[in-house]
Amino acid sequence: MFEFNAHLDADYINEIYGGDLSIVQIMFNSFLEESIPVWNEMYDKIVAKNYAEVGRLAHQIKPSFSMVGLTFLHPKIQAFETFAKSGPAQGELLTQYQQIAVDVNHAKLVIEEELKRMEDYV
Amino acid sequence: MKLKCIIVEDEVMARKSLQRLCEQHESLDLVSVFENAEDALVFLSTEKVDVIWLDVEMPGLSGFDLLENLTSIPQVIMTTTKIEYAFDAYQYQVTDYLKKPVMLPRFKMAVDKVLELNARKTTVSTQRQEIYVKTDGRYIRLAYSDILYIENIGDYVKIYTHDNSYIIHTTMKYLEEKLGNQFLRVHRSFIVHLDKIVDIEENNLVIAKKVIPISRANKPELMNRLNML
Repeated sequence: MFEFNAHLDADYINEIYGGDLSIVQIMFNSFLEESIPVWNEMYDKIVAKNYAEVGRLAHQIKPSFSMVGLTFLHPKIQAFETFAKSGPAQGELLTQYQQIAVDVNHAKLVIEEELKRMEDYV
Repeated sequence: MKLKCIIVEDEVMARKSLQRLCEQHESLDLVSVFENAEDALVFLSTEKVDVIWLDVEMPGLSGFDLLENLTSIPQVIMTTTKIEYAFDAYQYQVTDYLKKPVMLPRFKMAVDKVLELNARKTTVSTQRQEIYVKTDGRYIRLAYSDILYIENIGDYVKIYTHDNSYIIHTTMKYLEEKLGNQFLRVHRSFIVHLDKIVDIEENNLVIAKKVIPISRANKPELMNRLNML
């Protein structure tokens, strides 16, 4: 059985996809292709002070983190979404974004690495 | 025979996940996937499906809006991140209600429910034109031809005949499936025997002096089913 990186919630991944690595690969690719660009786009929205859009985008991509086993990030994105929708000061929102971005950037690398490992495994 | 299904889901990863699960299930034939309810509505105006996997929250029309606009509602499995919509979903008599992300075991359970309901429906045509209802500890035979209409009263339904009425513990959805095409759901709270209608005016119809409302969503199907000049 494929063993996921400890950074990912393997139990959760297996529970959702029933151990089907082909669907896990589809989800991981989708995460990189769909969610990461939206996360990056949020930075521009913060700079443009379009906080409602920041909140909307956070809400849009929030479930995708859990779907690739990044369950620990879900509450952080949830809190960020709530904060963005509360009409925050730009500096505070940007700080929070940059703090989470450290986790997201690392998670992106993990997902990329896991995709390579899965390709070799299958 | 596989059941034809569609997916209506705006969120890309949820959509892909559900698509994969449907494609892998031996009893499902995924005929189309939609990113919004508007496109699904256009599709459903000409195509008939057995099952809709339907997201609740979408930009534009919501999942509930889609159901309101359908003239004939197939089995529906709603998917959402919020459990708050469960009550509303229940009002639409959906077959199942799943929290996203949809887990494989829960997905299989939902499909089993669909298959069970569908099996009941397909056996109806071979059954006799009667049902037995339990009242006061006895089972009373009701010929379909004696039933005027059925009213939803919470967890129960009330079946009206010319001489009597019977309260039984079941769902409108189940009766709708069970009774077959002599009957039609014209409103969330009413199923009517089409042969018993004596008058239709705007958004109401009359059966045995009882005025029964017709919902906007169900009216086109009613008019289709009647022999109009």
